[in-house]
Amino acid sequence: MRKLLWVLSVCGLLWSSSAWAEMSATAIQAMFHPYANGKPSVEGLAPGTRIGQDSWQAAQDYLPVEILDRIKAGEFAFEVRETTDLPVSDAYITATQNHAEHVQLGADGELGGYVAGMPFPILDPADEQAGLKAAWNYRHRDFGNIMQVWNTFRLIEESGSINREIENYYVVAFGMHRPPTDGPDPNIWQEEGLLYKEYYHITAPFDLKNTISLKHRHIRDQAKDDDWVYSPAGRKIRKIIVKHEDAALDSGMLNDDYFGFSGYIRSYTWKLVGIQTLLAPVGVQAVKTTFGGRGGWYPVDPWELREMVVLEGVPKADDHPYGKRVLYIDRQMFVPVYTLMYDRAGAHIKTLFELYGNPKFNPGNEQVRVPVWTGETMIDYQNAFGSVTELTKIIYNEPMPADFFNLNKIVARGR
Amino acid sequence: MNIFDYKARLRSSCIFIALCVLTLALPFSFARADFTYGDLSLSGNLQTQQIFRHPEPDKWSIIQQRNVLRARVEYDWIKNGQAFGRFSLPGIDYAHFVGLYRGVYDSVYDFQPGPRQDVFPYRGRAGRDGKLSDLSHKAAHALRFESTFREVFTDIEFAKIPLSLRIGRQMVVWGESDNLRMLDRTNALDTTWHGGGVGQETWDDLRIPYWMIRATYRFGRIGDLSDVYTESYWVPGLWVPLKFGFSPGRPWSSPSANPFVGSPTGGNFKLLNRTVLGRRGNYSKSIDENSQVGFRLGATMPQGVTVTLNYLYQRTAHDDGVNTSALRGLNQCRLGTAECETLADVARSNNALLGRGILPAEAYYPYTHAVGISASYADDDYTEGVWRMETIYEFGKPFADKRKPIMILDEAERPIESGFLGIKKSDVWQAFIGFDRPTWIRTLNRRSTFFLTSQVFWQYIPTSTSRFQGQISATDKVRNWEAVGTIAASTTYMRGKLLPVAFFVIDPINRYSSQFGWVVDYYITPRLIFRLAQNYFFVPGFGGRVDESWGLGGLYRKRDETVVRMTYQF
Repeated sequence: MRKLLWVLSVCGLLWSSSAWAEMSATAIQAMFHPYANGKPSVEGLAPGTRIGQDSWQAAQDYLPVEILDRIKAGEFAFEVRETTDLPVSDAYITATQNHAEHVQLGADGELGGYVAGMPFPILDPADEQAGLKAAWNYRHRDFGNIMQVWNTFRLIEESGSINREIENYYVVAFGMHRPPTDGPDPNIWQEEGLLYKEYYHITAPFDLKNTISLKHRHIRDQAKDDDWVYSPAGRKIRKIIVKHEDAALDSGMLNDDYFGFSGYIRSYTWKLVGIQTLLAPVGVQAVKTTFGGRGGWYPVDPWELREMVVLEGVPKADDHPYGKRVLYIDRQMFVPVYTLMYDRAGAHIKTLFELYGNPKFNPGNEQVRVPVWTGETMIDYQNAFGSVTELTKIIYNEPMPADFFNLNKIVARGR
Repeated sequence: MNIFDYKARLRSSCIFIALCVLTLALPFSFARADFTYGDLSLSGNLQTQQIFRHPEPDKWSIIQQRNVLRARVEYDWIKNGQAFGRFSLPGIDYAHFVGLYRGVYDSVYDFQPGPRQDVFPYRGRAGRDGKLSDLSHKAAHALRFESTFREVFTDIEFAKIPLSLRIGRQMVVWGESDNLRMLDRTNALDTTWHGGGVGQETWDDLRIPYWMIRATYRFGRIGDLSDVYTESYWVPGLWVPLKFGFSPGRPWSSPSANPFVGSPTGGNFKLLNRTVLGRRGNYSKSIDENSQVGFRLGATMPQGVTVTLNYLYQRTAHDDGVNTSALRGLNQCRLGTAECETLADVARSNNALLGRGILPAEAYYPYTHAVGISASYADDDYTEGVWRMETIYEFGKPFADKRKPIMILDEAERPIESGFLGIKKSDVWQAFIGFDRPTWIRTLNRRSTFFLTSQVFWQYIPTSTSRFQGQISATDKVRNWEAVGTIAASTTYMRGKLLPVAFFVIDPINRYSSQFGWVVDYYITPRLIFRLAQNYFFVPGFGGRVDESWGLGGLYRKRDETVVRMTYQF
């Protein structure tokens, strides 16, 4: 009898597993290819339509009111372009199909059973944990294995005058939960439990040149980052504590803010607001985003109608400068395209745009199937101020020596 | 000055002026913050700095008007095993060249401002010890220009072995402390740049770069230890000790007048064995007699503690604040020998030396062994700060020994002590614990944290120090225990344009001798930076003389300074 029950239960599991697979395959395909059955089309927002101070009405249901208000105020304008299909890599999609079924949220909010791909491709707004699941999806988005960026970070006043300008070389390399590739196994930091390492090297101006920082992000969200900085003034590597709610150079860009959100998932209470069709500055047809409008802060390349996941995060810390942040995440690439920050009184105080382009227009990256970053801008309305990152060059998935990120390599290279 | 010196100085001046002109011309041609042509980049700055000294609130005088050009060239001359993009060098993966030029024009040597400068022990008006205009035209002109490539080195990374080399003129900085020179002692200091300017001058400008070879070998992970590496360096014979100048010629350097003036043969007294204080001891600058080496092993422990074990073997530079003596008194004959049967005979032999314009002493920079440990740990959970520590134990440092006086004859032909002393060696232990913390002080800055950093330093001499003579004055005592505390705070305002730093240093052993300083950098544009800074040296509640060797309110008491600087960077 026991044996029969065991056989029946195994059969039941197999059936439910195959049923899940069958049911989810369609949903997963829909998730990663939302425009397979046609691109969004809205009356009044045909490609070529200009949205600006005098022509915003057609867009009023397709933009967050906070952004629409800035258009109404004449701060910037853009043209509508046809939606671009920007699928992520096949390896990531396949890994999602193969492994998502086994992923669970633990009692401590950590992922269990996660291997690779998107942990929770099917998000149900009725699920109480849908927000947290979406936050994990964002953490494990397809960002490629290695991204190298040469860029210039500027702090810009409303008048357009530049307070500070920092040229830098930035690398982020992931070393865990990578889908298999044809080449060497990219899961090189499994033993150390490190999801990714970040390397940031200032190349100009002279007073900061050769400042290097290094970050280790652990796979466990409960673990705190390890951060070091090499200062050419001191000629030493120094362990540092980075407060996520702090802003380097008084820029208004919190350490939490990069790429829309780069803090600890556990530090926020997450809520999935819903999935909407919205206009977004996605699919830039160049290496870098064009900035314009008030202060030169806004992305003014054409915007597209996109399927967007709206995710709200409320900081758990009482002294955090934000009351909440709302991430508008491109559903196909699962990267936040714009993020709205609110103060504790609920007033909208900042907008962060993360810009991603069309790889076909990015020389050297034409074959890349990950969100290709083209720039970033944070607009601080309280202080009438912008923090703008303009790209010079970006390279994805070019192999790098494993010891590139080692502390002792920086000891040797520091100058 | 001979014709070769003149030509050398003229050449230096021409290089400096030509580079200044080139630098001024460049920004009109290029829009970027530096000038990058593929693998080659040029960057640097032009700086003008004025230092006003104000020993009393109503007495200000300009003591420095310095104009500096720094130009830095970097070039990846080997990439992926290809040198200059043409020649295959399969054993080497990457090589990077760095050249840093510094050209200086100190205009005070041309306009030679007054008034007279006080020097330690600050006796008042009667004791004032000269002014810049006391310098001869020739002496002043000899000091006004500097033109040197301070750093010229190449990094080499090998393809198959995890080894990096740095070969050339460079600096090596070890340890965890800020401004406390324990393990950071490979490169001696040049206080002719500024003697009491810690906090307003960078260590890059204060250290003397040496020609050396540095090697870093990376082991990676060994057991539970990660980032395991060894680093070693060799300075093959070209080491020089602490460099300093006297008032009035270098009013920002050592707070003392030249003690060597008044030779009966004219000019300055010389030292024995052709040694020169601040330049060279009784050795040749050869690999055999003047090499320095250092070795360290570093790793990160599983708990996150970063640790290094260090060993250094090098000559004593006398720039770490320890009250050691760089002058070793030597009698010209030994008491009890046939030539010197009495003390008077010994003193007479020394007098004979003085009569030839030579002091009975030599500049003394003996070798010492030093071992040390440094560590740091980020405590995210409880203190939310980074703890740092460093300790060094040095064997056999030279102290002036009161039991070994060098005798001379007075006018009545009686033997008296000359003031020069022989040397006794002793070990010295130094250590510090520091704590850094980014801290919100929202009443002062709503948008950015303050970076607070504090250090407690102590020193112990495990010998009876009563026989040691301090170097500040005849009353200066060498103590078994010394201690210094530092605290500093920095933040950012005005959306990156205003960067203030304030710091305070206190020596509780020597009547709370203190230094308070602040520096404010204001970025007028990303390239043009205005700096205002002040340094105050004081001894709270005490007006008398304080002998201390750390360069605080005792030694630098009347050296309160205001710095006005403008920098254009490219």
